[in-house]
Amino acid sequence: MRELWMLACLLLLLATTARAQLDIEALNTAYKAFDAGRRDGKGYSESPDSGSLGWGEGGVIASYAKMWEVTGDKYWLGKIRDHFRAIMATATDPDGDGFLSWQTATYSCAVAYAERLHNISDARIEPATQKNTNGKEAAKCSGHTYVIEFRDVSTAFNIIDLDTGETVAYLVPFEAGKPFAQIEPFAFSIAGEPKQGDRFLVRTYAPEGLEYTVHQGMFIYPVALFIEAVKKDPALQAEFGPDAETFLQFVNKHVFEKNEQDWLDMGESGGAYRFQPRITDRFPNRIMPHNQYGALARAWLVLKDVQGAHPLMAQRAEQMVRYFHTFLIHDEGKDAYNWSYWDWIEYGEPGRAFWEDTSHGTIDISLAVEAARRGVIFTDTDMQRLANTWLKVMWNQDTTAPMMAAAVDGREPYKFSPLIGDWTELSQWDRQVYDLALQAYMGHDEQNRTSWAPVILLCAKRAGVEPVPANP
Amino acid sequence: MSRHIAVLLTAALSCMPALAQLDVSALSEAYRAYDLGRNQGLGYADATDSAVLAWQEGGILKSYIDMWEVTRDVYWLDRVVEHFEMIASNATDPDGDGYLGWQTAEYSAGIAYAHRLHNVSAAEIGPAEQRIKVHERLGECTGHTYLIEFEVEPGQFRIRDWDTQEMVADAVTYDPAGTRVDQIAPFTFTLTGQTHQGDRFMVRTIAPQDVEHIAHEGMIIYPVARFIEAIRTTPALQARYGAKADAYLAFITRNVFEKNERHWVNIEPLGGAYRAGPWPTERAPNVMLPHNQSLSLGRAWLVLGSLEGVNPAIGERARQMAGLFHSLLMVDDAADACTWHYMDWLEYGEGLQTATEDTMHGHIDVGFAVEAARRGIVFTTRDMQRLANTWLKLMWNQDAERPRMAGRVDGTEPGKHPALLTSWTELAEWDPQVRTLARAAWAELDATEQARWAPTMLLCETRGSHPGNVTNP
Repeated sequence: MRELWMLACLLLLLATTARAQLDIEALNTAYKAFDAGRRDGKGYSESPDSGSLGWGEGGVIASYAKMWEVTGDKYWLGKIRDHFRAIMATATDPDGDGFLSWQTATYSCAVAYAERLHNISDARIEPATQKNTNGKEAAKCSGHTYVIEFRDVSTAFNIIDLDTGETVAYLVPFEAGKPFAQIEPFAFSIAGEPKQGDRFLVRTYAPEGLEYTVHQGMFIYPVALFIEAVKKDPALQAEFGPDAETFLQFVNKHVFEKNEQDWLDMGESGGAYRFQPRITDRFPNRIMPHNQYGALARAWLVLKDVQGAHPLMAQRAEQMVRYFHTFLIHDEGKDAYNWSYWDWIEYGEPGRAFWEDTSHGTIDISLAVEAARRGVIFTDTDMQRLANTWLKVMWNQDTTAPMMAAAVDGREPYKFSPLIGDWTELSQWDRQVYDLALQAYMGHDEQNRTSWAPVILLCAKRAGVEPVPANP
Repeated sequence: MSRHIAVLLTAALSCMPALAQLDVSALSEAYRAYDLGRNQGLGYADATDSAVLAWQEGGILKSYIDMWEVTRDVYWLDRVVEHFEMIASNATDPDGDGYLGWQTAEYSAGIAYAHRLHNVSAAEIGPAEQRIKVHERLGECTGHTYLIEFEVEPGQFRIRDWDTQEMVADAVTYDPAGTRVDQIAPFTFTLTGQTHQGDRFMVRTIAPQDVEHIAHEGMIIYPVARFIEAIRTTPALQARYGAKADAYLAFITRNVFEKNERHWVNIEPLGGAYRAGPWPTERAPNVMLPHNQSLSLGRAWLVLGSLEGVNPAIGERARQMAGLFHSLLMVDDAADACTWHYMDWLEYGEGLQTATEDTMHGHIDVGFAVEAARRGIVFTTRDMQRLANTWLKLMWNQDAERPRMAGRVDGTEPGKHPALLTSWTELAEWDPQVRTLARAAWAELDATEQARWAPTMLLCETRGSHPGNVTNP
């Protein structure tokens, strides 16, 4: 009896402490100030770079959606509106496909094709094809065509840029099989015994601005939440209705219809988006990693029941959720799920990547959460299993200094905070997710706590923790 | 007709007064008038396309220097000056290599590279590479990138021009056993294998590009080289043409000789030759050129290489080219004649050849041999008699009244050409029967055609009258 009494007091103390720590009104005010000081309140909304919009602005605009859900303060709807207006303004159509979008060369590759010409010798150049996926290195690629020529002797060669006529390298000593790297950022070697007069041609393709579904998903998902909120509440029509409609029509055409071009139907497994068919894409036309199509699938889950949404949205959302669900692997011992970063089929054979990492996993979890909350494929059982992944597989079991593993299989090091966004939304199915998040939150100083306000507040709300009233 | 009778008849015809004497003055006037009627005397000198300059203007330039050799009338030197200065003024450097030149896309190929993307299925596209050199639709090659995509279902595809985003073809039925795709002109592909919705195949094309051709430069430069030689070896012409000859020599040395050194290949101990450029749309990038193409420019080096003060490397290249070509002549013992291939080259370490040389390209080869022999470089009198025997014993139809020459140097494709052909008729220097047949062909021509062919006929007469005069043109 005494133990039960002490436990009850402890729980009450914890709850009171938690409630006292999460003063919604105070945090709301603090976060507004924090946001206003972040790049003059504009976040990365004015960037024309897709990567910056996805990974920079995406987190900012998502935080507004979180704060709206938690506080119901229209201020945050206004922020989403203002940011997306700026985002739309930078959309362009450089490839002429009739759809506006955003591009970045950050993840684009440099590609080189090398071949011998009609040479006297049988010497050959290798490799015939190469791709440099290192962004910084790839950016050095000129996109020009080069000739490697043994002009006067067979023991040394020159390299000529055919586009400019310039000699890039002069009398480079030749050694069979030895790599040379004067045509940046590539390395070639020549095998065999070249003769004077032999030539080899290298055609290069420089990185180009590509469009990424995952980036679009990162900022379109919060905009979808904005549209849904406005469309469902008559009280918001006057102030936000026209923008919501404009945003919906823009998203219908320039995001949904545009990505339909890259849709891949996988039958009973569902479906997902493919990468663009560009030579400088890392894997042109392959189905995307789960986090990449999942980022945008969340938006379709939100919008599918909104009046005016594209009629195919519901189907595509379901197909993508089903595709992800198909590849979850049940760890019966821990009653948890693990999954790969990427599953695909090529040449008719299945392929997969490494276990999903914690960082990309936030988007997968967000997809599952959104699907479960809207009754699409994911059940409470599924969500509990995902929570078990977090708590039984990935958590270091340290209640004082909780840290999370690098990947969903529990791979060390434990370098992630339990406060990491979207994983924290599993709190809806397991309170301990919130407890760990709160523990991490309380470990921050006041400024950092403010920056984490949207995450912890949403986590608390989803866990059913009562908010602190303004005037208790 | 037996061979003996033919010889006797030819000798008889050669004694006929009407054919024995050509009125050089009248023919010169006739050709002058004919020439002035050709684009108001400009010929094709104002062209910027190297193919036109070579195959249209080149013959005109040669006719002028031939007429100079025959008549010693400086009018013809002035014609060379007027034309070449216009030609030189149109030389450009679009490839930025620091050398001026003339370009054409006329002989360039269209190229297509095709490959599958990261598709679900194992379906394939072939061929991986195509190089279309001659095709009625070659001009339609856009140089764009295309996508063949199974957007809706595996049973049909569409073709999208990625550069313009236009649909080239839509809803094309697909048969996994093999479907021909010919909507990307002028290429043809085959898709095979079971496809999956979403499969895509990429086709990257390269349209024919403007490139420079050594053969064309030779056709232009060879007559100018003879102009330079004429000025340099004729003191009386120095005052009037000396500066121009020097300027032309400087232009040629840099923009033709030095530029093309990068295309040179040594084939020691036989000699050497030029190769095609490395441009992607060349028909066979970097291949050793066909004989006529390399020797076209070789003729100019033979001429210039014998002059004092000229880069000695020019003469060396001429010698090497003569050595290599000479080594590839095949002797027909029965006729004591020569045949040779259109092209001999080395690739992958192997010696390769094409068919026997044709008469039209062969005139350049023979012209090279003539220049070499007249300068005592590799080709001997015996060699030239053999080449004359090729013309007279292998290629001639043995009809003295209506002589016709075969389409190839081995006598195949009989009766295809007249006996009055540029450079072939210069063999008259070694065998008078060449001149006799040329005269017979000449007699068949009407006045206009006689005016047109006057330089060739007159040079034949002149060279035939001065056999073996190799150093004093």
